[in-house]
Amino acid sequence: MKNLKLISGDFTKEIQVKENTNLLYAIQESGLFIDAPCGGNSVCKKCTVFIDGKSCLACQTFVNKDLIVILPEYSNLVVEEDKNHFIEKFKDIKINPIIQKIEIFINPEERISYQSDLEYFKSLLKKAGFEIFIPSDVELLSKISKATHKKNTFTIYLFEENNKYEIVDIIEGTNLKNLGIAIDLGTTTISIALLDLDSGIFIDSITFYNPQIIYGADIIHRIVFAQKNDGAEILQKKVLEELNQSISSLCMKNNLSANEIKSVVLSGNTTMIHLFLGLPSKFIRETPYSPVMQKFPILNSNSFIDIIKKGKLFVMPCVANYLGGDLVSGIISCDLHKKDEINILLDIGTNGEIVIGNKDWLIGCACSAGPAFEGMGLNCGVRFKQGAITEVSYENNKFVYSIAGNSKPCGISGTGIISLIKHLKEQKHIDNRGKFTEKVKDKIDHRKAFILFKKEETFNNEFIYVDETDIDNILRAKAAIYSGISLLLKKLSLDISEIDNMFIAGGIGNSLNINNALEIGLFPRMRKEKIVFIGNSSLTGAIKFLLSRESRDETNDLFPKVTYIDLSNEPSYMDEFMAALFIPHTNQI
Amino acid sequence: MEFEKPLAEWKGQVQEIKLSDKVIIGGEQVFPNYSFDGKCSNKPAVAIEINDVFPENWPENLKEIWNTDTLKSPVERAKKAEKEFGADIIFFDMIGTHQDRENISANQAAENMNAILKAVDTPVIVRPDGNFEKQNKIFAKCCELAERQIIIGSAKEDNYRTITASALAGNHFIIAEAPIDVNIQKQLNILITQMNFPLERIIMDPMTGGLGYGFEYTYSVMERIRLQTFMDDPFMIPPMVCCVGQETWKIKEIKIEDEKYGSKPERGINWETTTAIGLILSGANIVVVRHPESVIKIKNFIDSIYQKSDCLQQGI
Repeated sequence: MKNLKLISGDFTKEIQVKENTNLLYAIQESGLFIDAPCGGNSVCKKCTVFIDGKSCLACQTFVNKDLIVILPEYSNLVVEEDKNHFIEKFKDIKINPIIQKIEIFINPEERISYQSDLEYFKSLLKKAGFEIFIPSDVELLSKISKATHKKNTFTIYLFEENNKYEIVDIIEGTNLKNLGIAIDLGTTTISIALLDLDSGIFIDSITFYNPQIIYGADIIHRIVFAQKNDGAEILQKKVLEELNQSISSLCMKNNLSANEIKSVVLSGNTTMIHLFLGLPSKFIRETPYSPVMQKFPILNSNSFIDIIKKGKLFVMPCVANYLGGDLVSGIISCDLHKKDEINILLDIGTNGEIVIGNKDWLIGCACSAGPAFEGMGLNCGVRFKQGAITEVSYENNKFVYSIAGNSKPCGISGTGIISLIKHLKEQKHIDNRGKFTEKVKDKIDHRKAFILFKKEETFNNEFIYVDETDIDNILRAKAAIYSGISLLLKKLSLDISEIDNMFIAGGIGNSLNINNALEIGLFPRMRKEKIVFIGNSSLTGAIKFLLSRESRDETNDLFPKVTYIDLSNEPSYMDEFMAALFIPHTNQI
Repeated sequence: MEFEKPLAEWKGQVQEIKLSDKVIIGGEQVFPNYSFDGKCSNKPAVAIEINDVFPENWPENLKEIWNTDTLKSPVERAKKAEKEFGADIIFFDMIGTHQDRENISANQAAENMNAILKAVDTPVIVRPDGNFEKQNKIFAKCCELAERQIIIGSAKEDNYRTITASALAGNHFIIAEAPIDVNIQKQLNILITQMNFPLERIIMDPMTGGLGYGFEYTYSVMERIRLQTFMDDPFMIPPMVCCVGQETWKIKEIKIEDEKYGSKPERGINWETTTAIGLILSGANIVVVRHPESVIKIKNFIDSIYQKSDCLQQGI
């Protein structure tokens, strides 16, 4: 056995592996993220790591001695969400958490003889105003029994259902916290937010890549993988491990105990939720295109996330096979279902989702945009993070790049490539179909490429460049989104000018330059001030669900009301798509 | 109450193109023969297809009517097409330039073309065959050496830059060919004009299939293209050319020996004529055919309906 020390930014992990293990495989097994779209064939050069100060490809390296390996920083936790952004959002919410916390003083001396422990406990709670269900969990019953014989104050966590209460947990002591976790389980990225439910304070959050990526970049590939032997178990295990680890590190970082987390809300697209729960996902993709269920039962958290021993897991209901809980969260987050005017909610993710509607009706569709906007599937793509090229401009006959943080560039983010394409088009380096003109002469691997940074200028000593496939990927992604919107509008006989606001959600969100997006035709041309970025709406909606009873009731009313349009059944969708596969688009009548 | 005739109000108009003193195409403001709606303008033109090499895969009856000896000489064919068969336009399809066939060089192709240009007075459409690399060489040569203005084809979405640049330099017309797709057609027109090529010198080839072989698909795509023209889409105004002969003479119904399909020679002519007339009714401005008999039938048809509506003079 050999010792491996994996270092990624501030994060270190030590593992033991058998001699001659492939390093890429070892890193993947360790739970750290490393990108290897070529499947370890030394083609894509994305798995570059540093050993003894020298760069090498993990997929071509075999461990034959103890090693210290430095991974590119994006191998680990990627982004911390902007706290203030969230705090601002929730300041008006009337807090009524999903799990309540009460403190009760138990004094066994008061007890009448021959009365059972549970009867005594029930009577105590009744006095406090809570009528309880009898717990069916033996472990919990013994905890209650022990508590009723001890003179002390106990903290009891209760979950209300039809004015009766279920005991979630009982812990000895006072001043305990009532923490909640909101998870946005995306195809490409996962975000977790930690909240204090009593006060409604947003404590912390993290975002990282979904560890399932190595088994397929989009939901279709994941479903296919899940149908292979053990595929579903592997996918579930990967994501659960990662969540366990991230939640525990989030708690550690904030000096909190995972024991005090009593509620978890999970929001994500239908496929991700099925894979998380271990439900069969086959028929999401195949006829009759049916999810197992729309509204999921309330589950015990420890069946999935071990470190939350006693807690409840709530899953956002989904609308249809490709219209998931993340969208329902999104609607809740921007109050689309409460407005008089007609609005559009656009969630730009790997699985793009669009809803149009107001307080009376909602209609939605999903379009597969692919992971390009999140930096995946591009030669030099990265998610928004330190070193990412986030914006491109053209000044004094030169392309000028803005790089996030104070670091050498490591790749180009979704917003970066959108603005790059805009300027390449403007400077006639590409034509309207995204093909290079004579102005671009550089080549990488015998293919024409536009080079942003030379080897010596970058973080991992590799060129940062964009080739025609990259541009094509982005154009396809934008065409999927644009055509989805224009088809929905046509179906409703609405003109874009009749739309009051367009809410843009998703990882790409806040840093996207609206002008650039309009210029390449990411969405229909509308007045700039009508476009509102709302960030990660899936996470925001899940947090609202944790905190506010009103939001919870609305969620349950909402999901059956959304009309789902399946674009793959729309004969004119392909037409719209072809029209949009162009900069900005063909604007067909 | 007096009946008021409803009138479609279109804003757009098909670009009128003068290919020679005799041949003017386009200019219509309404769908073909919708003379009750507005001006129909110029009659569609009929082009005859000739090749630079002997067309050995033509059906025998077609070869016979052309005379095998004539078919061997491109110049003789061109002359015959113009003088005897009454072609408005000569469509010079250089199938021999394909690298898997005679692999005729770019210089030779340009020479062949010039021989045709000298032999006839009609406008000439020139179209080389081969991979993009080969085609691009021929585009450049033909555009450079052509002794008079030609119509060069075909610019495709994946290969439009060389041909556009060459045609721009030589002041020629261009054929923009899209695979039966409104959007790609428009995108291609935009791409070509983005290279400062004037839209007034583009002719669109929406591509077609023979009757029974995807014809109806072309029909509706052409209708949609024209719908956009009349709704004032600035990029959809060029006239359209349809290569009918190539699509009809290769289908199996024309080749099989079975009397229940009717007389074999007539079958081909009828098939070609019907397809061509259908395409004219969906907006084609030039139809390219192979059989002289078809030319007569198509021209008769054009004359009959254009005379009846008399839209050339009248309009509304």
